[in-house]
Amino acid sequence: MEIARTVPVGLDFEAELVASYPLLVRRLTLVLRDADGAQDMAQAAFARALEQRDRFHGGNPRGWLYTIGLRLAFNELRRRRRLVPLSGEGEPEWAMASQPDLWLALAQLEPQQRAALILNTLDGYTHAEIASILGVRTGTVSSWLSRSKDRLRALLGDES
Amino acid sequence: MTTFDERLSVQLSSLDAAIPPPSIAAPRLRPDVVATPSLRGRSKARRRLVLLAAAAALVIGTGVATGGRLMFPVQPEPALEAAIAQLLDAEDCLQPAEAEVKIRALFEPLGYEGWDIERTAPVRDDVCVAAAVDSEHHAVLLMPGVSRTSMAMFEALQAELLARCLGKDAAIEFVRSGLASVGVDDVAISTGDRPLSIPGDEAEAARWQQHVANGCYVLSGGATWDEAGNRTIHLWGN
Repeated sequence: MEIARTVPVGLDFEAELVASYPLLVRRLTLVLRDADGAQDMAQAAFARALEQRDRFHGGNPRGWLYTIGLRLAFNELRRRRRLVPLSGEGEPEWAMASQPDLWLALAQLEPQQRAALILNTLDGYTHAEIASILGVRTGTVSSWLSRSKDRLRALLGDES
Repeated sequence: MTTFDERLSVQLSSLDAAIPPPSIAAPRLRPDVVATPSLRGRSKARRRLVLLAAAAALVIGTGVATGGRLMFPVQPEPALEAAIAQLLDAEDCLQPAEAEVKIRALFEPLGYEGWDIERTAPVRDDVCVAAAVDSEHHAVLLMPGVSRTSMAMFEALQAELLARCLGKDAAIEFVRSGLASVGVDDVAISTGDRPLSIPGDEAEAARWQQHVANGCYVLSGGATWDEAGNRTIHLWGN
């Protein structure tokens, strides 16, 4: 069969955003610890990315979408911290059925550190790329990752 | 990578995989959002082109879609392309009969008197159509396509397949469940060690090839329709 060379799906800015959207929802779920909130936040980020696309000057659309989504998420988490919870909400069933110890341990990390760990582990972003996404210095990311792993190692009782 | 890093990666991936899928694969690209003044010009034009091209990419490999004609005309018809793209953009799924009426209504106002609409052989009445403009033959070709929801899901599935490494059975199940989540449950899924199509971008094509060489499966960038109009999605892997 002759290989047909087609216009690639995903090279277009908007197609990249569409393809990245489900990933953003999942990353924000882990950062926010709230699947419904993550979807709302991801939709807001998606709309904002389209509205502000003239500010995108090339590079990685997924990273740019992550940048917008994570900043919205951090703002939301700051807002939530100012609120007094009316009652303790239970942990989500899907998390407790999957990796309950890790889910609870991740909650002990600061949101930006949690985000850095997720971007590094799940997406394979380098320290410099994460620094760009989160708007901090590369050294800060390296420090966060090291401290986060030490913390998780202790919380998970991993002695290796 | 240390042993702890490896365990963390596995556990975090497992947790990630357990996250419930979003209720929608991706927000729709609303024209009122993207058509702001700052977006006029090249960007918007490119969006239209890719919209048509992305839909058309799914039919390459059928061998019947364009009857040997150029998929993308040497002489572009930007006004007609834009108008058709706008029609497609406004609907999640435009079926052949409605598409014919709406596209035909564009001809006279845009100065395309004498143009015609042709359905390619396997276009069923109940499928969503993609369109291509054939300048040489003064025709708009309607081809089997997919809804925008399905297209977004295809793109999301491919992004995931490239981000992970799924073997044959896992990839089939992953694609089948992803399509089912947007109501597409009438497609066959085949696998093969040759791609139906690969990206025109060399780097992206190399990325697909390397992924397959690593033992992972990817969507091969196309779909085929049989004579009855039934669709098959193809996964590429070894």
